[in-house]
Amino acid sequence: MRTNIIGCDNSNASFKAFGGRKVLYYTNVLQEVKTSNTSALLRNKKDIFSVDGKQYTIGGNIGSGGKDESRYYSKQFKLETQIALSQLVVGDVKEEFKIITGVPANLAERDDIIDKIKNNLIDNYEVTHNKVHKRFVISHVGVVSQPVGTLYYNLFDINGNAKTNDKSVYSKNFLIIDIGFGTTDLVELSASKGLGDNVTLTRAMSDYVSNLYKAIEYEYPESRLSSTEITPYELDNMLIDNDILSLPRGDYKVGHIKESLQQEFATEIKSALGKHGYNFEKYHQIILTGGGSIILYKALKEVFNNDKRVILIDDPIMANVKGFYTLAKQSYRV
Amino acid sequence: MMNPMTVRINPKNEHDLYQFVKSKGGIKKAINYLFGHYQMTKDIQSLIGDIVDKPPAIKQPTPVDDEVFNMANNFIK
Repeated sequence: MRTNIIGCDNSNASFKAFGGRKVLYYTNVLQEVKTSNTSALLRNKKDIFSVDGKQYTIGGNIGSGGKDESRYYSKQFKLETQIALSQLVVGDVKEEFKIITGVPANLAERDDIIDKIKNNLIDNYEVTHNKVHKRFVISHVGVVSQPVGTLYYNLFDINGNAKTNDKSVYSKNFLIIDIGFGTTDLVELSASKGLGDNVTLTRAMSDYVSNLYKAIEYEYPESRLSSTEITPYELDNMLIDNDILSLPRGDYKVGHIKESLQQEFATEIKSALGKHGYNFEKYHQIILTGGGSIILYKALKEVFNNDKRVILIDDPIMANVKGFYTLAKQSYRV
Repeated sequence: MMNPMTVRINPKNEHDLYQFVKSKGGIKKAINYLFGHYQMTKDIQSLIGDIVDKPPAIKQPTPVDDEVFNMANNFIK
């Protein structure tokens, strides 16, 4: 049986997986569809997944998503993982998956939750993906704190080889600021000493995008933003590299609104670090990661007085899962 | 069977081709021009082999030493 080593992260906002040549990244939304619609969906090149007589499509606009810890061992979590991994099975021959998956730092030390995640996922699966019947087994599940993935991606290449010959870097302390859609993790980490202090803030990009939406509506009521059916998430995507918001009723300058919200969020992160007693001087590097880090990098760099130790990890969106993959290769010695 | 050396070009439907042949001064000259290109490029794969470094074979992972193995397993629950 063919064995796949996969690093994956099933979060509120997206499903990400990395297995060397196999990569998945899409918004984590499952929609059940009626059997009668199947032909039309297939004609529109939509992926259809059949599980236990029900049919689903994936992707679309991000919903609110649960921030509750129980989502990590729910039936929904299992179904999302099942449908995601079925896309990595090549044909109708059964395959095996050994996966490393991430949880927010505050759950990574909770043995009860980790056992539930493993018991939930280790199983045999069958999914019909666009008429191809796929079978696979998840035989091993390893659970790590999400920011560990970024640390590993910073220290090792994806084959598991050290990026530097200087082994002293393993014992150095790093501060990882992982800005996700649902949570922001502030985690002190060292490769040889493990997890240090960690704080999970529930303030994250979902708040930033909804505040951005509200602030634009407030400043430009004539834009009638809410009647355009643009979601806060789509709005943020439209404005990532753009300071002008183009709507049917006109163009609106929103650069200053974005900047002030980013500054506010960055200041909040820094004060949360101060409040929880983090001492910046002891860190070798302060690494920004997660989708939100791309948006907040400039503001965070400013609140840290342009400290050279503050870096944006390469590929912040996939850094964690790439690091999980590296960890898996080292742990399984493959 | 049509003579393979007979060529007819429709100046309306094949305007671009017609212009190209005209600019080269006739069909034979145009073919010679293209043939020159063909001669120059047919060996390009073997020629660039000498002057361009080929991508290295996919790097194989070095055996994971015990220190790295233990670090990884300390993180994985």
